Amino acid sequence: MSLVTSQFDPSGQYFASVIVSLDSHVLRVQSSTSSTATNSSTSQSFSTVFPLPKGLKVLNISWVPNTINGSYNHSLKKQRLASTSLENQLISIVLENSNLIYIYSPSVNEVLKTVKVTSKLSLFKHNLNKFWGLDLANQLFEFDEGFELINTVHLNDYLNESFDNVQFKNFKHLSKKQVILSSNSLYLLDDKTIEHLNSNHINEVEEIKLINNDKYVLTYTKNDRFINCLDLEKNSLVKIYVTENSILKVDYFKNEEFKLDMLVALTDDGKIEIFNDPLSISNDKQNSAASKYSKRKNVKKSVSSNYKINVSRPIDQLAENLVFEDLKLDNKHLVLTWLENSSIPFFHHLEWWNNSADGSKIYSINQNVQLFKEKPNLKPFQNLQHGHDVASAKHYNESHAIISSGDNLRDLQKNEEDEEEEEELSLAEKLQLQNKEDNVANGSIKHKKRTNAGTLTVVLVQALKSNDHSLLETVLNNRDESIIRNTIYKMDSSYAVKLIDRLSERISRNGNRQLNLNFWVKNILIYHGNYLIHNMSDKSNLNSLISVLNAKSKNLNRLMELRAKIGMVTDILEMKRDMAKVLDEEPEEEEIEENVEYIEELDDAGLLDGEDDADMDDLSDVEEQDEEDGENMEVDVDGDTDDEDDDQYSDVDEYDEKLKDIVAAEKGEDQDQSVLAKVKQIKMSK
Amino acid sequence: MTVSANDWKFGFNAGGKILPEGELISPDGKFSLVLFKSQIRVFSLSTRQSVRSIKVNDLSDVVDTAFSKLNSSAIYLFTKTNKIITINWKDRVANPIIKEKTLKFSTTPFGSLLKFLKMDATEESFYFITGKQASNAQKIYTRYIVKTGTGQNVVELANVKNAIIFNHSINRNRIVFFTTKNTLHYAEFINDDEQIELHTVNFQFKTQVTSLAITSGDDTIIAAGTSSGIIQIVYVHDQTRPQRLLKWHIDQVKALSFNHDDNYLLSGGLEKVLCFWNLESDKQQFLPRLSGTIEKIILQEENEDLYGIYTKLNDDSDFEYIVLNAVDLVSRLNVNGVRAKFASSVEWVTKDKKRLRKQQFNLDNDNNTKVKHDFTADFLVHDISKLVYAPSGSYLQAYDVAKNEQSFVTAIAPTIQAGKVRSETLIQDPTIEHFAFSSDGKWMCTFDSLSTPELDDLMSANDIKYSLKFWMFVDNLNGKSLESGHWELTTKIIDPHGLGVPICEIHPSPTSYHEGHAFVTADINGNLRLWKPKFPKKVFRDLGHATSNKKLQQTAWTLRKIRRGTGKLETGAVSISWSPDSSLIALAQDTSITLVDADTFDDIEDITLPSLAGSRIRSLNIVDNNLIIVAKNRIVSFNLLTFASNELSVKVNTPIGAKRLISVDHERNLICLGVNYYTSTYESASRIFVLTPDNLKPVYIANHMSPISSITYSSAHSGFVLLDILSNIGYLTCSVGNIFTQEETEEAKAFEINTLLSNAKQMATVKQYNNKSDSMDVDIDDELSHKLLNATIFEPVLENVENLPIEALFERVMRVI
Repeated sequence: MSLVTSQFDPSGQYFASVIVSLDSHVLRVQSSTSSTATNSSTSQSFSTVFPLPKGLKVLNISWVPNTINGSYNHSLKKQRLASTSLENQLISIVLENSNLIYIYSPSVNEVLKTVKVTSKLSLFKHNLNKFWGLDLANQLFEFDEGFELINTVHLNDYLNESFDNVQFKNFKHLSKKQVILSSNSLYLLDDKTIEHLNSNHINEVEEIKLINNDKYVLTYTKNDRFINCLDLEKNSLVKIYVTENSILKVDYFKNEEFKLDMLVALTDDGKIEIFNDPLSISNDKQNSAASKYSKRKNVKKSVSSNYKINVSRPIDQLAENLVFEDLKLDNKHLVLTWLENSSIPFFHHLEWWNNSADGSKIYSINQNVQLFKEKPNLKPFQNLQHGHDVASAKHYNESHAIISSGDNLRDLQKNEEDEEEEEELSLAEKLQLQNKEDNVANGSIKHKKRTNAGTLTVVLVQALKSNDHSLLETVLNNRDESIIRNTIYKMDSSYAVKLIDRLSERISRNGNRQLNLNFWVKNILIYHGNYLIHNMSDKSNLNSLISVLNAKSKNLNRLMELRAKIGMVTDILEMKRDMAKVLDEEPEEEEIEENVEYIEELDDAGLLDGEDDADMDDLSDVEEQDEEDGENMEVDVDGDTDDEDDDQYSDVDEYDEKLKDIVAAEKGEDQDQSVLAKVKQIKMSK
Repeated sequence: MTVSANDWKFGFNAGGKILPEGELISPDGKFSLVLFKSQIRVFSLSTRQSVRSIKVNDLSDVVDTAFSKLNSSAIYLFTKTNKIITINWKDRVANPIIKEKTLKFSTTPFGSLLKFLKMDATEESFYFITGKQASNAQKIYTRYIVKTGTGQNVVELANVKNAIIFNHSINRNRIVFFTTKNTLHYAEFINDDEQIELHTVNFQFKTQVTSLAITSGDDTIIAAGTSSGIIQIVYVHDQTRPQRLLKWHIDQVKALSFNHDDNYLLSGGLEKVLCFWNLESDKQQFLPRLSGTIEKIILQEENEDLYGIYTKLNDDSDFEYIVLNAVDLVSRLNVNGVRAKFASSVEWVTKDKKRLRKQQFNLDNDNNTKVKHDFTADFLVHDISKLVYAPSGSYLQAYDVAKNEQSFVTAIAPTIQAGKVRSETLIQDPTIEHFAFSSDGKWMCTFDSLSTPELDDLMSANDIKYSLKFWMFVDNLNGKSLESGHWELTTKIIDPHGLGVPICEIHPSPTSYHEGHAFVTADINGNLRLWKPKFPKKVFRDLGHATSNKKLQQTAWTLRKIRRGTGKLETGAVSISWSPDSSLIALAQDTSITLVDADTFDDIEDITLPSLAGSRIRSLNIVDNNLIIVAKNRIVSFNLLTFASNELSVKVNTPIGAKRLISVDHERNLICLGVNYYTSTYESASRIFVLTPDNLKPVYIANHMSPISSITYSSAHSGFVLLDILSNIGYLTCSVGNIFTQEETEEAKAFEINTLLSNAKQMATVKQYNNKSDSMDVDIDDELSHKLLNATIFEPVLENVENLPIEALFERVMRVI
């Protein structure tokens, strides 16, 4: 049992439970009604969770009326009315390891008051408009509405020697003076004397319930199967209710209006046992039988349960052990609770009486009840989904999808009749096809005559007929154009489509071989084009060829553009070079004439390796190199490969720069500008 | 049999856009309040759901908000019109506005409220930063720190001249300013907030400062984010300590904030990454892949473990508000408005108004519908999940109208999740151009385009890659998660209409055609292509099930039929319509209409339609036997069987995206048409007409005060769903089943006219309809106040009720009523 302790409020509308969460005790108060309204989902309408300070352990809790804030009303009737609303109720929390009593208000989710007592209490509850506490030393404390201690009764003083070492664990007020006290047995404190009542248990009494206008007392203990019902007046046991397993909790309710009463017990195997009409004397049938086995007198009065209630998962769901944790009986309903996910209480409301056909009220639980509860979705929201924050956009995986292209015409339909591709051919259609094939066969006799055994055509047809790819490969490996032409020429047209399919498959797979294979395609189109046009009105059959050709031709425009651009650049270059040559020749001659003075003496002296000459040499070197570059470039352009073109570009640019620099260096600015102007002029005219 | 306006229900109740100001997280950390234009929405941080919405007239003036410390159910709104509005956000009351007070600002030089700083214990006096409203981020103004209250005079505590930007510390005790002289100033409250101490801080200016933050603890540190991405840390309390530079961002730092104990600095910018700088250990942490660029990081004093973040999702000022848990950096809440991509942005509504007012433009019957801008947006309802879908960029947003919140956003095309900085902004994401749902909602077809970035002078620079995608709806049947199903890509077709040919319209097939599992696409050349799913053969499906091999079970969409256009005409004005009996497809190109046999995909050549449109056709619809043509300046209805024009023919100017403004209810043969127009005060407004194909008199007219962006019919809602320019979603539903009997069509048959007559008639009808609609206005206003309630109206209320608090349920009911 994962609940430390639990308690329904007097109206049965709210359920307080203490669970251990993260090593500290947590008090949770929930509305029990909401789960019937929405059925099967967690009760969101009211739920507070109050974690107690670490280390504090809860012994028991009890619902008490709210006497703080002056909302407490002394009139008993009004009190009952008021007690149904949560604001008017508090929960007293008795701690196991502290002298403090917490008075907690579920409506504000706060501890309103802590009551400090001198010794450790074992119980704190509300009886007869007062608050009472019982400690381990048999002291009964009386508190007023403000939880102030007003009186202490030392119960030990009233004990006579016959029951000396009794330690009282529970109490219940009959009246101001009369208190029923319990340890293993029941005692009655009447004013100042304590007398022993005739009801004994093996263990300490768990709870004392006054029933039948306070005439009877119901007591039970944990780990025992008996519920004693004691007549206070006669001081004798009226009945003993026997359950099949040890009892955890018991509730009794009498509907005064219809004179129906019921006793329910929760046993430690998590089942509910029902005693309909427990106080009636007539239902003693089985007891007489039981009495035979027992000699004890009071066993005569023992009653076993009528029916049982069980909860489990639906059969189709994973089996899981569900046990009831607490129960509450009220006017109309039996409220049962069990834990989902070992921590969240869920509720079920069961009507324990209903209208019979003749209008009288009858017990509605008249057989064993099996409740089926589906596993609820306890994750009403998730902040993460598969490690993916829900706030972020969802992404998709393209790798799972089929990717196709707009020019895939394979599934193209002619019209509606073709729709059912998968349908088998009807007999008539098959017949028609047969005839067609015959016709083709007849018609092709002529062609067959034309082909000679051992020619490539025969091999090709064989390869196509038998789907022999390796054989086909040997045929297609022929590179001689005239052989290809002749082979295609001699081939029967009916194989053209198949061959085209095979060819386009190969072309699309291996782009490098295309040159060779293109001959095949070309020749098929030449010699069998007529056949294809007339018989292949359905485009889908030539689909693969279409897509291959599309893919091939896709880049043509771009390549042409590139080629034109490169051509233009080389043209400009060439022109520039020509211009430079023309310009260089004239001024250079002049320059040499102007600047260079030949002095025989110097030459003779071997002093003529001057700077000017060196410059001249450099320049001519560069020019020579450039010419070489230019030639190379033209070759490359013819080769039209994409990648190298870019490199070419940059070379050209570099060259251009160089040229400009040199010209500028040589001729000074004026001339440079004139050259540029000329170049521009030529560009314009072009 | 006529229908009174009572039977129609019209209202805009959902949607809207987030305002970028005024978000709050309640002091107990349980709720978050987000401002929309006309409502405050309260979200529960534990369930991520909207638990309440408080209707307030107009919140676009609000500059800041604050919780009252005295009354836990009150919040204060501060507006730029210097008002303090007290609102009860917790309780359900008839009038949530508790108090509305105007501050005495009119005679002072302090301008208007910019930022709320704090209030005193009695909550009578408030401290503000005031000044002129900045129209853009880098403008220079004088900023004042003032103390004021109702009935109190404004007390100036300090002022900073030439301030460009400012920010306050988390506890709002310090305010830091950056001024034009490239200096930093900070102000600090002293003497029980009675005085302000103003300091100037020495600091080495590098580049333009774009964001600021200041610590709230004892050690004063200022962080300044710059446009170059460097964050400068200035230690004010210890002048000997050299300035520090934090380098990670590579573009503008837009938001900065210290955390509560000043150990961490949070920063964000264009990278869509939230950075955490541990100032002591110099360690960094990152939260990448946020949905947009980070505009604001909000830390509230009361909540140490919750960070609010505003991200800007696109250029159209669509924001998302995220609340992050500081412990695990997982979102606790994300709030989105409806994120539709409008053809022209909402700003033009006011700009147009200004322009027209300036010109004193004379509006008459001919040109009052000549709205200059196209305010339409793509928007559809998915009938299975009842979500509305709006594409924006490469994302598709699904919005739950019943819950009034975004359900999910899904990427439709591969995108880079990282933010773009500097030259990366040239790289464009793919954009969704068109999308459509099959009539049963099980399939979705999207068309997106991706243009090549102009990074280098490449020949491929003008290339646009197109792809058509087919998505299967995977319903969330077992209820394991709360999401309402998702889309799974089944087939992607690259260049569906050939290389570089864009598709102009995707049209789903009617239900009568293969259960509606087909789409037809039309491109700019008038080519039509029919796409249908090719289900795997049963043998493979079984095998796939047995071996759980998904590849074998996959459905491929393939091209089935082609109609080749003439190739003579290349126009973007292409529209198609498929008759409900699936036999006929009408194709409009520019001004001409071609009828195509849906079976053979060949043109029907023996029938030539008369020239009906007269201008460029925006949209075609086949309703019953009638062809409804929306052209640039008229709307005509033509009966294809009698081959005569119907009575319905109206002169009206329509925008380019007019096909989004007309929608057809094929069950009841009703047409819903939205028309945007200028009112006499130059406001942009709209009128929605519900028409039958053969009658000029509208069945119903509704008025709306802002331009309509999209109308779509939803069989799930059994009515029309509308979207306006302010991103509000509305419904137009009718509770009566059969609107008209057949008798009236007899009259229409007798209505035979030639073109001349029809022109004359049109002119007459324009006047008629203007008069009529004017007189009708009064009726409608009266009648709108009564509402007809029946069970179907409440249906959306009961959706997704699980996990919904009872208050929220009531709210839904109230919304419906």
